[in-house]
Amino acid sequence: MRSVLLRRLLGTIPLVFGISTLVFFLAHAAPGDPTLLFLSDDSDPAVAAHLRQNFGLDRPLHEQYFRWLARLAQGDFGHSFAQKRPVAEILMEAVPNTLLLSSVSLVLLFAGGIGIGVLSAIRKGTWLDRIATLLSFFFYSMPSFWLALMLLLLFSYHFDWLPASQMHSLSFQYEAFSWWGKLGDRLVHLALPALALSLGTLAGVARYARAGMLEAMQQDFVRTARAKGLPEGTVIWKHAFRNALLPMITLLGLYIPFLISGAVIVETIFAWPGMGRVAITAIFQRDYPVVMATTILSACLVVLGSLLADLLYSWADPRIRVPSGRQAAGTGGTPQ
Amino acid sequence: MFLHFLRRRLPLFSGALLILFAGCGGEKSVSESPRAVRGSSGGTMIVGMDADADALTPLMSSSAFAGDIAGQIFAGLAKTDPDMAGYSPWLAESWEFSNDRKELTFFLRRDAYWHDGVPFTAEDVAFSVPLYKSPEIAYGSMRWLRHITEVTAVDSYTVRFRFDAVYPYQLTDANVATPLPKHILGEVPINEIPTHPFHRNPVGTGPFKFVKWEPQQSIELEANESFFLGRPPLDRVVFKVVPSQTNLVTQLRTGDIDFYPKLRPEAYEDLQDVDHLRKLQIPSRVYYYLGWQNASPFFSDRNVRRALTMAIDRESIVKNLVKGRGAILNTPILPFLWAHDPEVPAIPYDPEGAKKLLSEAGWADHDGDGWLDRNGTPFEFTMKTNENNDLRKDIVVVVQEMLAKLGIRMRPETMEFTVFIDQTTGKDFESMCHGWKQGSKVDLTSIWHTQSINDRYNMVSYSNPRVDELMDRAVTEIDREKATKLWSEVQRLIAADAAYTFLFTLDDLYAIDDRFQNVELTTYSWTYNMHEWSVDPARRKY
Repeated sequence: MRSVLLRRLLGTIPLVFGISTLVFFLAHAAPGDPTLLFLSDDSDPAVAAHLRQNFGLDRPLHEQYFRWLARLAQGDFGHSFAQKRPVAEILMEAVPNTLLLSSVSLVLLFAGGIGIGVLSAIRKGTWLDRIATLLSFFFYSMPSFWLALMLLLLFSYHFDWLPASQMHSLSFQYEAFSWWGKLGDRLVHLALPALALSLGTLAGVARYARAGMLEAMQQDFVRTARAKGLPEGTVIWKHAFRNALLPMITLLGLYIPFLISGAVIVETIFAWPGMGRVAITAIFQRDYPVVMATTILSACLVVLGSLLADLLYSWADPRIRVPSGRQAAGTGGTPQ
Repeated sequence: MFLHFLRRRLPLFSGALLILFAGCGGEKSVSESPRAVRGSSGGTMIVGMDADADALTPLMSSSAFAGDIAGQIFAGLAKTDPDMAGYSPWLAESWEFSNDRKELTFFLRRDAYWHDGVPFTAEDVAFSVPLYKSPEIAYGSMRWLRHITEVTAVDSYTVRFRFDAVYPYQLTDANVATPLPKHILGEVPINEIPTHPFHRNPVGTGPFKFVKWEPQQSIELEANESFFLGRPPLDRVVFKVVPSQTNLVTQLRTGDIDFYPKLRPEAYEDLQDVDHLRKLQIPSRVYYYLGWQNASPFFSDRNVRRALTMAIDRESIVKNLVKGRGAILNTPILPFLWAHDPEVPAIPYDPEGAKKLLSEAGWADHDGDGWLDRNGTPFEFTMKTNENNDLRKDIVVVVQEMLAKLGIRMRPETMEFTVFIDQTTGKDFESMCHGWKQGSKVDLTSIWHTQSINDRYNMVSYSNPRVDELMDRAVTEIDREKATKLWSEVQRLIAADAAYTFLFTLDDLYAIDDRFQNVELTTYSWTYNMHEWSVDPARRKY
């Protein structure tokens, strides 16, 4: 098991390397000039030249690439052109915020989606199922930016229940809160972005969960379990539900990258200080070191996300479980 | 959709190409609230901001908001007057030129302190100017300092600038290099200055002290108790970063944001029914224009360019596209500047006259297909503009329709901002829709001089020897009355040559919670008298 994990991890290295190399040359090949931001109409052309020199842009592209690679190998992402500080510092601020938002949304959307899906499947054809179906399609078909704006107008403006932006109250107020007060403040600020990010996908998961559950309940082994006279609860949860869960894991692998990329819009609307905003600003400012760093990080997160899904899959499904113990010594392989 | 949001993130891009940060003035507009002698102390103002700052020192900040905030933390030697024609004492109590005008001596206040308590002295000034001039730092307006050869601290409170030329903007240029603290940066090697933590944790001499910066969230300033003009009435100013304009406007309505200085016309319209907000409209420093590439065979003829201007109904553009929040412009010098000539003859909206001029130039529908042509070439060209700016894109579409009525086929072409700048400054366009943000100096040479065709910003390849000659004289003319006459003639010639179709100046639109008093917003800057803003004590929120 461990060797498989190790192999998978090692396998990500060339992948991430390939992605970042591609992005490096694409970013530099795109028209536009990072020095433009700092110049005015009577700027000396010499200023632009100096800036290019400061940024290392005066060197041939391949040289820039190898310098960048050499620094990266030492764990140095370089300095942001626009913010004039180490890229690592910027990422350290933004990445945890994005991960917080994404992971809360992930839990929300799977817990909520599976719950609603299973419930509709069990109560198939009742009014509850119909309402759940209707709502699922309603949210599933809604573009996330629009959903975000509607949530904003409804809960911040009309009802005035939830704060419209930021991660917590402005620090002059926030600092005065107690420990519990701070926690509560952060939770209410998290509510709208997390909802906006998860609702649409939650609806999708609910549809999958419902279908999966219905299918599982028609399987022979469920009929057998019922025939054995097992209580309905045991039949549903122990037999049908476990099997319906399998496709959910595949979905998890698919949604993790989406949560990281989809967060850009939600982060912008709710002023959430995450990686998406950092990346987008950097792209438009041609802040190459930041563009490169965020690309590598997203690539890593996506690869790790799918790795996680695979691991969960093999944990949940004995049929594809990685051979372990003495068998592993012999084969060491995994049917992937 | 993406771009729709992103546009808000980059204020620099949407209004104009460039921002000259230092010194500028403008028309004064006094808010309607009664003016207290001195507002009572206390209270917090929350200012909305659509993008985070990049750095908070005048040396390194390049985004518009960052400059505004740095302007509260740092003080300059002199303060630009709102009428923009002159300067008032600030860190310097007074100044005088030597008889040959090659030396400018500032006499500094003795009661100014850095926020960490260290006295501000002439040494700080003498230390700072070389930093702004240093190639390693590549300060954007570095060129403004090119005539300053030496800055010496005569004594602790007297500092002397030496110039190698005599020209009207010596005081402006001496004022560009806002002083930085020598006791903090003095020992730092120059190549480490641009990335020094000081730019994110600044110590200045201005009315407000830096407290805290949470990236992408907020920047907090507090009153400087020992400010040389006395403590500002507001306890605290918090700049809250909210990139989505919809969200910003919502928070203005709910009172979570007290002030937002960059409203779009549609949002401004939308807020009219909110009673607790004062809505203010001030002429801005930005103008929009259409540029015709004079080097292109289509637009090399002055009469053709004039005809194109006559074909465009600018009044309807102002009325419909900016809801009247702007004014038609006829000259390259904006109305708030002293050199503006209000009498420059306007090229009227006259489609019939345009047709006549075009046919005189040989453009007529010879082949009967409904479109103009000349010697077998159809009158067909592209107009470029940048993707992130809805207003410009709308203008191009409206202009396309107006030109089509005359039988001219124009194809809009939009592209990303940096690409647009690359292509336009590289003269790779036939026509374009673009904008300028006016600096404080009246100097048109970088845009209109023949010699500038080889530089970046005479993008339309405009050349008129008479204009060159007049401008050469005007930029060195010390006597403002004589200079005004020269600039007036320049404006008339440029307007008549119609290398640009000047469209309009846009107003800056503001909404501010009406519990704030003494707020004076000017064309020069909305932060002009922030050190005097106060809160009605009966209505203080926090």
